[in-house]
Amino acid sequence: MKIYYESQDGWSKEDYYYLHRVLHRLFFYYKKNCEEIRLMEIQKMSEKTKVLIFCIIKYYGYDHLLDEFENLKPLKDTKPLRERLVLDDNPLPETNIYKDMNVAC
Amino acid sequence: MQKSTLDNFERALYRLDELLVETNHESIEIRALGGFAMMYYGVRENGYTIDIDSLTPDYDSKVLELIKQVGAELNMEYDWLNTDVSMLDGFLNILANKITWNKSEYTFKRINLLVADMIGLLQSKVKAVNDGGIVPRITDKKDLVSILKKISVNDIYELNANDKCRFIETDYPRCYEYLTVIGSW
Repeated sequence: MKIYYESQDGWSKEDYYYLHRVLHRLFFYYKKNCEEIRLMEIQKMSEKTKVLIFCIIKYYGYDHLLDEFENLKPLKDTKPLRERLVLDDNPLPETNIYKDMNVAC
Repeated sequence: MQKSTLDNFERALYRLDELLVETNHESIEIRALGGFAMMYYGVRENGYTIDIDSLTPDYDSKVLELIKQVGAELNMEYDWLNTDVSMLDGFLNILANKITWNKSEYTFKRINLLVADMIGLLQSKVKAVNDGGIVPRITDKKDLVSILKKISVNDIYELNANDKCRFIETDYPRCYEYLTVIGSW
């Protein structure tokens, strides 16, 4: 099972950190991974996972992906997390989309 | 797919070594950078990484098959060992020769595993942030500050005072500017 579909019960920040790394690799190299992205079922993912994907897409200005991939369209309505998601206890001291979406990265 | 710890990679490397012996393949060299090297030195304690980045020329098709086989056997990525970093401009032909490579603690029969030293890791991440397109990868920025903290450089003042970091300002101005802007980490 792909990590982005796995249950996140009992996950530590290291687990979310790794999830982010996997998603980052997938979306940063979206041209190489277009088939896998096309098959992603966003509705099966947790809110945290959806927010991480949204952050990656917005961070690099890859907004066009939200139109090009039909299955990613629902991500356009992604809202910040109610509870802060900590990937790293020492987040980068920069203002960016992660901060806006309540993710400490 | 399981999350790969240092132990998992150790198992994978030993399995690859077994297969290289079984298939009578000549020895291969791995020059490890990136997440694996960071875990090896404890920069990313209790963490995971997706793959071992090797700053070497491409492996031949037989080795790539064996890497894929080990990945399947151990539920890891098919390219858990890859040379993608070698394709980045200036990495293989220039940076590889500037880095000090340490022999690893592992003993293999057909694998020569070298790991970049901490300054080598720093050089690779500085270059990645400096050369990294319109928006350098956030993962490279995070790795960069983690490595700087590990060598007790926690802000731009400590960086400026550290001889080993002098190359950042002189050779990688874009990265230096980024660190100046964030100030401390």
